Amino acid sequence: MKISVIGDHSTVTGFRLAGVNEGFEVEDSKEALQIIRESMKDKDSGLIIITEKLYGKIAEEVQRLTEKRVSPMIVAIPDSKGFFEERIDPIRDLVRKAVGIEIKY
Amino acid sequence: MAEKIESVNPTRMELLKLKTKVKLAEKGHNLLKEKRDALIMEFFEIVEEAKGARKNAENKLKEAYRALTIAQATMGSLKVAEASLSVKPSTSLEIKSRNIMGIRVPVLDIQMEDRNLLQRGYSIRDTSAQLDEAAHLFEEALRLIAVQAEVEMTIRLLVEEIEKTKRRVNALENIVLPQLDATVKYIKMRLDEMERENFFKLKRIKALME
Repeated sequence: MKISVIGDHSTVTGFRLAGVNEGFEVEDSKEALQIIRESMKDKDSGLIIITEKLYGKIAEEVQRLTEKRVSPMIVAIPDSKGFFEERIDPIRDLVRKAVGIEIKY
Repeated sequence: MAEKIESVNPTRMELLKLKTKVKLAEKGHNLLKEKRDALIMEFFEIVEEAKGARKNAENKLKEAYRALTIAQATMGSLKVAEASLSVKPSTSLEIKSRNIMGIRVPVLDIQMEDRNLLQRGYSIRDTSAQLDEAAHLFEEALRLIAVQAEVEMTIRLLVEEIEKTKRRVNALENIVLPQLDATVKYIKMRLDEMERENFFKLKRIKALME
């Protein structure tokens, strides 16, 4: 299956060096969402790596798209400028859903 | 107090049937409760793992970005981008699945050939050693990101299952079992009432006959 990267110039360049199958340099979240939508149709798409900066704005929509399926998996990573300030931790939300309380770690 | 089941005949047969139903429901309730607890335990283990996976991936990524920036500084970012475009895609991903308490969770198997700098695909004549370093670090980061993705997906699936189990436990505990209990009680009362009535009838007839 394929691995794709969506992000800014440096991120995509870096992962291309690592030998990923597809790299998309995009400017804003809308484009990123479009690409994710396309990838959802592709059965061969296994993992999508996206920068947190882009993911932050479209997180809800993407989660809705990927809710009932296993692939492609989507992972958010920090970009070359470091962490996104309002970073969302997907795990904390899930922990709260599962056990009913928020756990700090 | 829960409502009894509508349209139930107050007969002994019905009572016996209901009693087996109650037993079954209780058994199911206990089993589901155990399943829920086991899932939650499993869940916390994996959350622990996820924290580590995320941190590892992020640290490696930070190193990789630094190496890339150095490469861009020494070679010029255009040259780096050019080199990156000539890298042959060499990763392949396989998604297998593993079973945790009846839930199928994915296992990512990422296959990357260990390439030396000649096999990456860019020409080594006009690239620098820093670029090789960056490429190598990004390869490692990619591996760790795959681990992170796997763990996060597992957590998501576990949470879904925990929610489902929880809902079932609560439904049994708060709706099904009280309803069954109420119905059993209702039938018992009706049967007792009928018995008293019969008893009284017999007494009455006996008194009239004497």
